[in-house]
Amino acid sequence: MIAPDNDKTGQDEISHLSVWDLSGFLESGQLLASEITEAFIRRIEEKNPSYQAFLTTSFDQAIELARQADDRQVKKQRRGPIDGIPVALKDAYDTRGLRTTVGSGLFADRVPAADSAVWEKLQESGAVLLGKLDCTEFCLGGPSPDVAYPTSLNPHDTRRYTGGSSSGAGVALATGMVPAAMGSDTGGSIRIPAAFCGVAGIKPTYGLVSLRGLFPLSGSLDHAGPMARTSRDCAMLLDAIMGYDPAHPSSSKKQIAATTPGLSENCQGVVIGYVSNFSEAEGVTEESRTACLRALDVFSVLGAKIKHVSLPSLWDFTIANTTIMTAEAYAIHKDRFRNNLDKISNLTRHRISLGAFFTAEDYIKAQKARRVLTSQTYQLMAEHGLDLLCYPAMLGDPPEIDKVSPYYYLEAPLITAPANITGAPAAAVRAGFSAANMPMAFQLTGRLYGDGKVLAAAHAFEMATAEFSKIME
Amino acid sequence: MALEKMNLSQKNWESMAEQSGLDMTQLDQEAIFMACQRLRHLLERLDKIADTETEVAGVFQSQDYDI
Repeated sequence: MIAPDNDKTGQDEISHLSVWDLSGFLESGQLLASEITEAFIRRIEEKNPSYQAFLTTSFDQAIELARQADDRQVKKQRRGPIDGIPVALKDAYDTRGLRTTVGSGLFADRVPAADSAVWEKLQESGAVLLGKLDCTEFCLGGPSPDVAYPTSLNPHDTRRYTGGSSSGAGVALATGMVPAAMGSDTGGSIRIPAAFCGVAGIKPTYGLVSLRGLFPLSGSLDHAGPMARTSRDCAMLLDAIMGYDPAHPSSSKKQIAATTPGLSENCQGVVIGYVSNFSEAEGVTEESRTACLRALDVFSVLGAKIKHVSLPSLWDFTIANTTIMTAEAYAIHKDRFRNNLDKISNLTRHRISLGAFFTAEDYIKAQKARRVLTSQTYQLMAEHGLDLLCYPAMLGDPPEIDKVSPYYYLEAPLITAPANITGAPAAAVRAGFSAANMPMAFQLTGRLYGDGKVLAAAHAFEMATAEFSKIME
Repeated sequence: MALEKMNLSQKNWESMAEQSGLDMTQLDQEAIFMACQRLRHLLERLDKIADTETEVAGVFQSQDYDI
């Protein structure tokens, strides 16, 4: 039985409620799925013109799905905690009959014939789809002036970048346009927009959530995962979407128990390794590092044991990630790049074209390095008895939009890359606000299949630091 | 000159650009060239951890196909 934290059920407040609260109100009959859906539709109509998070809406379908959820509630046939909850998908997840652009003008009329595995799972859980969210072009683009669709804007400061590539998800959550969203993460594309927009997100263990029907950027590094306003909501969503999928080669036969029942408000017995060399890496600001250290103080109070550890250089993870990602991305898109380069935005064009200049030796070297770096990471965790690693989720404040570099990951290390290389579960957790009043965040990463421990610690931290939560009015 | 140091001569670069099949007139060649150079420099870092004859990338797992 879900006991909501919040007693607000007025129309104005519905859009501010968490998935947890909405689910509790649906279960008790205090709210109808159709009421909730209509409230979020009104919120989207009010906010989307300013923040441009949604590329495509599916309101008629949403109203019908909500009506079906209400029917199940009346018949006491609710499918579980997600039944009747509105969601939106990054526009890289295929949705049967609903346009899926992957942020590309070349795909303006692309209407998939089948659903992605994630949307299949959400439908089975009774979720209500509100629409498709802005996604940087081919999941590797950025805020280029020549992109095909309106670029979502960071509600904390519209001059600053939202982070990508799950940009629309970060913005829609931060502005209360949707309580739950699905992103994807190849080098940080869930965690970076979550951090820059001040929301929560987890990149699950590699293979835990099926990639079928998620347009690939780099199959060996891609992860599908949830974003929400709290880590508890992420846990509820992860429980709904994970599972072995024999129809996709990267899907893991090993699966885990539901993560939500394991959430608690303390961290007794949890051992966290503060990765000092990541936190002190080139480009990490003092403010970002301090926010992470303050978070560790909170974890200590919550009962966790903290150890300081060091992993291989962040640059080693970054270059292995960049080489694999860019080479695989170019292999996927080479025909488009050879035949339709003029229809691809300038920033994406330059990022993915780089993949044409790798040699087979480069790619194999990066894959070998991936194996070594992964072994070293988990060996260190085992030797020190670590359940989790902790380090900043971002180098510093989001850059101004016109200062986003095409090759930023070659100028400073990518602090989200290690968990893509190792396949570890990795959450972005809010850590307050910077002097510029921008959200800050740290990462918690776990051992493979330790998603439950990551989310449990993130939830305990959020319960202890509710003041970091902020939905834009 | 950095070109020789990176083992990426102008001739090699032109050859790679041609082989890529890309219309290089639609790209900022200097930006891509500089990024390639930077990447090659960074890739050298991986030699110390991965460039041994005995290391394997480990991409094939028999049990994955033992259905």
